[in-house]
Amino acid sequence: MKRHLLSVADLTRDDVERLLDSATAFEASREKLDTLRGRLVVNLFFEASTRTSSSFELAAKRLSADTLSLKSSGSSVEKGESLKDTILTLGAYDPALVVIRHPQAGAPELVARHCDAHVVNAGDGKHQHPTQALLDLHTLRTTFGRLDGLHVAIVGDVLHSRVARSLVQALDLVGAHVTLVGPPPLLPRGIESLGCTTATEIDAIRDADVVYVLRMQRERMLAGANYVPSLREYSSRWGITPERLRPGQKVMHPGPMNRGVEIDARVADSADSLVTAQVRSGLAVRTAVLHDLVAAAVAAPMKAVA
Amino acid sequence: MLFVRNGYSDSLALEGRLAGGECVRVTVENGVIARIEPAPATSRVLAPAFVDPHVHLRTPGREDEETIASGTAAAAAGGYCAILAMPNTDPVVDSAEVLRSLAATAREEALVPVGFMASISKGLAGDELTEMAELADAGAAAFTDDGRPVVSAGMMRRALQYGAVTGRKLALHCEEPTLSRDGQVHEGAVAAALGLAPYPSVAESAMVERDLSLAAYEARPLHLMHLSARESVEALRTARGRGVEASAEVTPHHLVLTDEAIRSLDPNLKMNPPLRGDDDRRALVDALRDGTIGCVATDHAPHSREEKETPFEAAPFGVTGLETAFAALNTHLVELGLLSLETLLKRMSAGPARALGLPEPRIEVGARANLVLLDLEEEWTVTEDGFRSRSANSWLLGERLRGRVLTTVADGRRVHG
Repeated sequence: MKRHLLSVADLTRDDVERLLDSATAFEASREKLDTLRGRLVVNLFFEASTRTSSSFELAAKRLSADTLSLKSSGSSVEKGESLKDTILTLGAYDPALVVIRHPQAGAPELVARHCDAHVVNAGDGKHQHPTQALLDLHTLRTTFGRLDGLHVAIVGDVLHSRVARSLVQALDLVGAHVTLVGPPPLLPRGIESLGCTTATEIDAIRDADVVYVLRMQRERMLAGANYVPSLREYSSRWGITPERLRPGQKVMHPGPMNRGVEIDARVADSADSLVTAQVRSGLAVRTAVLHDLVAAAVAAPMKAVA
Repeated sequence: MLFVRNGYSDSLALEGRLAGGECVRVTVENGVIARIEPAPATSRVLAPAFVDPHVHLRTPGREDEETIASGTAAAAAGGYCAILAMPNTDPVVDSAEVLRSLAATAREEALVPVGFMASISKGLAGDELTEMAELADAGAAAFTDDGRPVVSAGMMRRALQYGAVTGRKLALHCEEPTLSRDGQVHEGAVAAALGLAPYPSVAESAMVERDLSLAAYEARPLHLMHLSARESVEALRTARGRGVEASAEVTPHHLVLTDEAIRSLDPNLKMNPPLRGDDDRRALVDALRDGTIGCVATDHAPHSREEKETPFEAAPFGVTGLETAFAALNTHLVELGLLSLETLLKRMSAGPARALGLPEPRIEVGARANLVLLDLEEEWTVTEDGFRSRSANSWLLGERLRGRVLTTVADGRRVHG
């Protein structure tokens, strides 16, 4: 049995607290650790990424690992090599950890079935992005000093967002309240079962401690898709402007931002924006996750997958 | 019309308990039931062999996944004496030439009688009718664009009208494509949690309602394939109440599983229509029990290992079922008291035979022998290397089932056991 981080559903509340405490410790010092000295970490990115891929690479280096980063472009994936064969090939180098980002849901599960390494899901399709959820929790805990009882409003395209799915589950796990806000076609039917409420009016953000703004993916919002009539109408109705926020109300965004679409530039650059803090948290949290998965002495394991 | 390997007939005798309760010895001479005599008590069950109205034999085009020989061997192992193959092959069965070549192959290698459905539209494209009369003359068992719906209502109406000259039924895959879009799994809490594109129940039931309306207007019969949603069952029940001559089928996987199962992201749980909610599943079981749905169909859909060893989202739709259908339903419906054995045996044999106009397997003197001998108690585990099918994409891999097909006699020959 190997420990993996494939989904927030694999985590207990104890796992989350242990990982966040560890992230806090990593943030407090710049010291390098020997956890992964002489071991290999493979970063497999089949989808574009700036924040996630760079922070995983830095996290592995912080733990003294050798790193191998592979993108689909320029690899044998372009010659039609299957994910299974790619992972069997890289598995031959005996990596300690495989970090995978893939456009299709279920890819990390496939990787976990076909290699002996610990697998970390760095985002699969519209399914899960567990380290994003953890870094968001870390950012919230650092900012507010607690997670229990916090109210977070997540605004925008929930339907296509793995960030929203992971974060709702994670916030529910730690006792925070979530309201999802957006146009009805972008709020998936049945999403309440993850532990949240939904609203279509932007006024629903008023009582939230934090407004978490999701990216409007332009490629999905082309005319004719009819999720929303236009980005213009979306912005006017659901865009986060200074006028829609209470003084001191915090704002988060997983990036990359579309300034002027889902978030007003004045909000993005304001003192209440936690966007840069999120990026910083990303490095600390990912270091904590890699460390936790390989460190032998962990008492409470994340759910192991055969 | 059914096609089977040319040749011989068997003489044999089988002893078992009939659904009515009496234990008999059935003697077959030269392929025909010659005598039915009282026999000592036994726990084994002897029944008319099964008929599967919905099988993908992948021939021509994907013989690496299934052939007529391997698919009919799988059918024999599953207790079937007749199966109907779908026309969504490469090339599509949309001309008499393709159909005749399949019939010729079946006469050489089919272990169990097999019928071939022809497509409703040329190339399954949904816009031009196939030469249905000629196809019927060449032996087409029925007409279907299975795998795809007939999108245009006007085209569907013409198919119902013109199809009357063939004396064959239209079998329909009901899916409103602008509602299912690129949907992968049932719309609901599980799809929302997994972030997989939703395929709502109404994508099926809206098309079921349209096709039943057209069938009522044209006063023509039709057959609804692989129903999955409660709303579809309700529409069917209402239409039948009004006198529409509609038959329907349901698969073992839709009777046993719900969309909760796909949380594992196992590509062998991905099929079209998708697994739905428990409310839907219970409606399907009720409909099978009360006869609104008269047929169990496996929708046996073989896929190669490499096609299914992919992320869930990239995997093709379809699971195999011929070799596990009886055991799965015996274990999950009969043993749990949700369906009587007698009803299950009817829905797997007489039901589909009547729905598609095939000869009904009967245990009576003078009838061609089509028999299945079952052990209801034997337990076995479904494993990848245990199949006669060329593919192993079963939704039951690793599962322990109760009930086993001991012997199958199809068209007067012992084909299994």
